[in-house]
Amino acid sequence: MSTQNPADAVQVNSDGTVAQHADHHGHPELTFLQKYIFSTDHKVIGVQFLLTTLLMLLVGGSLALGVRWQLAWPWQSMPFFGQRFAAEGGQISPEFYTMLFTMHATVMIFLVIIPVLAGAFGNFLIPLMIGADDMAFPRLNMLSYWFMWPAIICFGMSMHFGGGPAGGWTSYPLLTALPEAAPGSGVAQTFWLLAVTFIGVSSMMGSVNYLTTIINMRAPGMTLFRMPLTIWGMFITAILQAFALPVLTAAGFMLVFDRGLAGLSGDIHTCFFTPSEIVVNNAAPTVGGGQPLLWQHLFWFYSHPAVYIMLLPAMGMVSDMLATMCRKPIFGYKPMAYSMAAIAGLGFIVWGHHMYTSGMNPALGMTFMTSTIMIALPSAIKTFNWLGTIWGGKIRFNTVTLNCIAFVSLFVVGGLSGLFMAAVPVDIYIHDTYFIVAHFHYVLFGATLFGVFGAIFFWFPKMFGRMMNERLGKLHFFLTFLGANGAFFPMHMLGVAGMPRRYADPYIHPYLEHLMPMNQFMTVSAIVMGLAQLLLIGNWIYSIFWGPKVGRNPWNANGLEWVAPSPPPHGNFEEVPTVYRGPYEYSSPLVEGRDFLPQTEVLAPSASADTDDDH
Amino acid sequence: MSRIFWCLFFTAWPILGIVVSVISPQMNWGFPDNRESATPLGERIDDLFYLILCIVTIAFIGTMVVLAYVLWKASKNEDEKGWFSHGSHNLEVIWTIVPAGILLFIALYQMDVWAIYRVRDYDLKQQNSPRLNNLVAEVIARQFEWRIRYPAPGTVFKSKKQIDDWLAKPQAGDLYTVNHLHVPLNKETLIYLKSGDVQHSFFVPEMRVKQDAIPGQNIDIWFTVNRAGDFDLTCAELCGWGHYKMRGRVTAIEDFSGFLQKLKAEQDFDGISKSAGEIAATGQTQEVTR
Amino acid sequence: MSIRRHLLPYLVLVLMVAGCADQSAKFSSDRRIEELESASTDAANNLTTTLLEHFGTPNRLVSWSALPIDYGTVSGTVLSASGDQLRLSLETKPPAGLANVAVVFGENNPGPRLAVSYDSDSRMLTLAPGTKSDTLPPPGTRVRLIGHRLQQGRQSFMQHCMHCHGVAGDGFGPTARYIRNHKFNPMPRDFRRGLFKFTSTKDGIYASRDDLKRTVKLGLSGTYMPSFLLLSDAELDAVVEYVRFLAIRGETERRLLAHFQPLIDAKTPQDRQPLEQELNGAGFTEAFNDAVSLVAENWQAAEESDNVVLPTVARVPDGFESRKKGRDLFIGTKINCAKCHGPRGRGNGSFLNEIQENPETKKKYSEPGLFDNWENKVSPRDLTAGIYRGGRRPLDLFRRVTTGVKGTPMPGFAALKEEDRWHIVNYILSIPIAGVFPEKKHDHPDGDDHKADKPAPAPTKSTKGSGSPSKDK
Repeated sequence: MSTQNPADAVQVNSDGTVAQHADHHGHPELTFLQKYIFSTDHKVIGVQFLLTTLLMLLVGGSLALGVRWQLAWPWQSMPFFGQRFAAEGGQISPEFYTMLFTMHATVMIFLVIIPVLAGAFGNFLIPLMIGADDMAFPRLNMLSYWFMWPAIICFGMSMHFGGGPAGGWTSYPLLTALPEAAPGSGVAQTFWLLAVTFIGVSSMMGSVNYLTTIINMRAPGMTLFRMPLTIWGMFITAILQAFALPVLTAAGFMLVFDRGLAGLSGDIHTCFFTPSEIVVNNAAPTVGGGQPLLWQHLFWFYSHPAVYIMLLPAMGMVSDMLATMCRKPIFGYKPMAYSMAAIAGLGFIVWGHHMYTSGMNPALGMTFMTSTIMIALPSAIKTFNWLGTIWGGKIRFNTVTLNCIAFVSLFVVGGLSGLFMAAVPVDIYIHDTYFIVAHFHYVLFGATLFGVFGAIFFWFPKMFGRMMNERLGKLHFFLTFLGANGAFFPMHMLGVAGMPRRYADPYIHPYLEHLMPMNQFMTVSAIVMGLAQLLLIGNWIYSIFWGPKVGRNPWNANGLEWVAPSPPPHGNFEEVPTVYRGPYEYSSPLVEGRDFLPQTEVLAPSASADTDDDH
Repeated sequence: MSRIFWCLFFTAWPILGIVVSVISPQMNWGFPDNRESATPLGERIDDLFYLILCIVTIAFIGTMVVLAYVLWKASKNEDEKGWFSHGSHNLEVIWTIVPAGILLFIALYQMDVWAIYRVRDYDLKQQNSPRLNNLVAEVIARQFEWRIRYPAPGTVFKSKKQIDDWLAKPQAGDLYTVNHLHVPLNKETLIYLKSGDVQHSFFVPEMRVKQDAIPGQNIDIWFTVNRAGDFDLTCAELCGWGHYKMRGRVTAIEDFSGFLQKLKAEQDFDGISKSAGEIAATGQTQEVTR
Repeated sequence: MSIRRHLLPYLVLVLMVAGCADQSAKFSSDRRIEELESASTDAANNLTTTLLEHFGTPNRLVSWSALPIDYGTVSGTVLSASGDQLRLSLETKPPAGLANVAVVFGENNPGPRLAVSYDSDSRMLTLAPGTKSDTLPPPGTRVRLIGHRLQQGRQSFMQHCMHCHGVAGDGFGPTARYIRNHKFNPMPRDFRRGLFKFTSTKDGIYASRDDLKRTVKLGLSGTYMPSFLLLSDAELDAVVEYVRFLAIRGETERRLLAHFQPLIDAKTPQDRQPLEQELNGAGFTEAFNDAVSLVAENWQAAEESDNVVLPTVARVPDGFESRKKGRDLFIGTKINCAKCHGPRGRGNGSFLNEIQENPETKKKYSEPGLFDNWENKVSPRDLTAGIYRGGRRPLDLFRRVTTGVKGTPMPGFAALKEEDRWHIVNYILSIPIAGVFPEKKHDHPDGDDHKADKPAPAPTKSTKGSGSPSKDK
């Protein structure tokens, strides 16, 4: 494969310092602002994304704790939040609760999971892992980060207007289309939609960049099937995003127009989603012949693939980390890559499973059920291959490994519980109950977030040249794992008991009264989990300054990123690396005395037969 | 030491999970009231649920046992290097085809129940179809209550057109209640679901019935209740700040026409005509003379 | 007056601990109290402390025999008094709210106490030590436990009602401000005027317990007040009692503020000085006693059966003739419903274009249209919609025609003959079904649409919008 590196970059001496390297490119000395804030360096942008998303993780987590508090001790004054947000009588108000879960989901999905995978790790890892000196469009890359901030500001604004957005993260009209329908359906909803659009623009710029970079800027010898699975995950995610996101953006604009030209005038508006003659809160009857279901179709056409956007990169990263930590080639490299592609492909034709009970044409239910159930297949294949990867390996139980195993073992739960709701008849009962909440928390927290925690520990030395503290890391893992399971496993039971989602006070319904102790247990678990994240933050800060310094390849890994210095300078590699084999040649019999074989290493001609393409 | 701890850790939590799941019916964490569904279709849904539960449990135990095994083996691997293997084509084929078969079976096995629940044509289009008169009520979900309208007692619908007209406009003799829907016992029942404002969802956990109410649409729901009693009715689609307040009740009664007569007497009450006790019996409005 | 004599025989403190959110919760007070405070701190203090003394806070309610409120009383006998704990044998099964009540030994020895445990088999209740160092009575003493109903009502109110109606029942709870996002959406009721729109009682009489219960149970169709049909009867009674408590507290507060109004209006300190002395001293006690007895009397009167509107003539059979008469009255000059409700019943009568005057302050409103006593803009009911907020029984509509909708410009027509009122009821009930112009059916000469005994007709296609339902069987 060709590379777009400037020809002179190849000739840079390997002992060149960062500054020399930069000078060689003819860059002037960078100011602090240019270097760390408005940087076009993919690594800085990646770290910026990571810091922002971790900050947002705390915000989203606090919102979740608010939700949990209300479910465990309804209408009682919240600690910390209580005084600040209490309405009359020391209680929170129901619309505040609605805002809490809406913004919890919004922040976690749009500001944490999607940007931490694609934005943070995608940015940091893609050029390093494929041997490029930066992204294809560095300035676009910077813009994609800075477009997150208007989104964050708009989300923040929406929380301060009219009680905050109240339509849930799915924002089904008419609740969100008619400003009179709910407390937060006024300006708050417009800001919310605006923020989602900003995030969409940010993601879109990212995915275009990733696609171009991965296709065009791989180092010599880095064929598609020598790419690490992380890159495969990012690549497929970028494709998903590029094709699905425009639909959400379009739908968002349609909703904004339905709301009356972005809230400027309620009298001039379209009626994409608004049927006629609907009277909400004694407002004037609506006009127009729209269809609320249209929003659901458009929304889920993006948001179902988005579930895989939130998962595939983590799957890729976990594959890489597991292989490294088990000192073993990944089991079934090509099936792994193909199944990711299959998930992505099927992911486009399963959106209707969110709408089984919605009143869409029932015949569609059967089609979507079949495709949805079949999407479990590639997920199963991946799970089996991870087990195969561990099988016969030489595992080291460090924080990275623990988080990866947690990923695998919790992903199994999330995947299997998905089968219940994929089956339409069972979903009739399960739909919009806590079973669904359990399912997606097992996938998004249990799988993705543990993958992200692992990845933070794994690539931290590459980012900052220092290791993170193992002891704190393990403690963080232990508490998070216990807390997560304590908080999310009982949700299955709540769901089967028929507890609907998004209830501020489920206990006014007699058949749910007896579930209060369980909810209290879950809340305590959630608080433990929330507090455990302080360990992560503490560990992070401690390790940046006082962690033990490491060399280029602390994990004895094979990938290209470990050839670069830690942290890599601007331009990443001293010389353009040439790739001779796949990234998973651990424990190769071709080398003596060590169990890894970097992708760039030149072996004696007799031994350097291409092993990875033949298996 | 830590190796044993972590191997046990990843073995213990699935065991704990399964134990919790197994005891949950005893702890009343299962289906509402720990009882079977009150509708025959719901019983079939339960059966499918348990079928999937069995398959899933086997798969879960299987993967977790394998995980524990490979972890244990890999962690006490004394060799200099790991096993240099890029995978096995045969294994890949096996673990593609076997789950594919199981999954396909699950998918196809569900079709029938779904077909009965939603897809089957209840020949309402046919003139004088007896099913036309399974229509019991129209339920209008609004923020934050259920408004119910029954056709006048004795109404006979002869065509779908008549039903549509009834749905479109109030008719003389219609009976109205709020939050409490009565349906006949052991009789195929049709209710029409409407939304008065935003989207809602008609959810009766004990009957395993759930259907969204979409603004601008009349959606038919079919069920047969075969257990007399009261069932909680809740809203399962976010409908605003008072979403949780939409507490309703469905009651299946033997003497449905008797109920309608009582309701009618109560609704036509002009302050003089009926004795107090007769009307209070429906429980809809207690006070009579005032 | 009998009430005056019973004033302040004893005060009982009822402590609320169970399920409470914030111990510092207060009944939000009228905005005019701040104005009063700037005029005279003493007066404001006098007013707030008096209210606090007699009504308490949401978490520390005060029950008071002068008020016509059923606080909920359970009687029992002292079994033993060991240490600080008191064990009682109850005469009846205690209701749900009996977690923390006031205990009265004999006639006047009140003290709040917390129920520690209750054994339902032996009906034995154990109470924790009280806050006062009261002397424990010997075994065998009759004891009354007061306040459980009000406490249960408060709990339910804080769970179900407070979001809209506010902690103090001022109709401005945290969610209420969003309810007003459209000008014709009715605001949650402000209890503090003792005025409720839909009642069974005569003009000028307050709402009865049954009226309030009916509203809570069935909701007000077409408004944000939902139905709480499935609350238990005990809970409904308790909520109603608590609403009455809040209404009485609020109205007392309003009346006391009215007492101080000259002080608020006074411009200069010189003007204030004599007023302050006059209003703050003995004048205040008298005003308070007057206010309380007046409010108490009003609420008591609502319970009297003489004050209930009941027809003496049965409903006139519905049919063309009756509807026609109703229509004639509707558009006639005598009562002229069409003036507000519009000739086609759409709630858009010509009267809405005129500027009205506030009946209390005699000030003109700034914009044309109708306003209720809470100064919210209201619209006359669209009678074609088939939504009847006060209930759809003929009796309900008869009462609307007779007494109007209280607190709104909808007047009562009690002077009208009962038959005529029934004609109007019949006509109004027929509008959504048969259209605004009564039509004689050709196949049924007397236009008998009233199907009291016969099965109702099968619904058929609606004829051109204004016809009565055809009856092709």
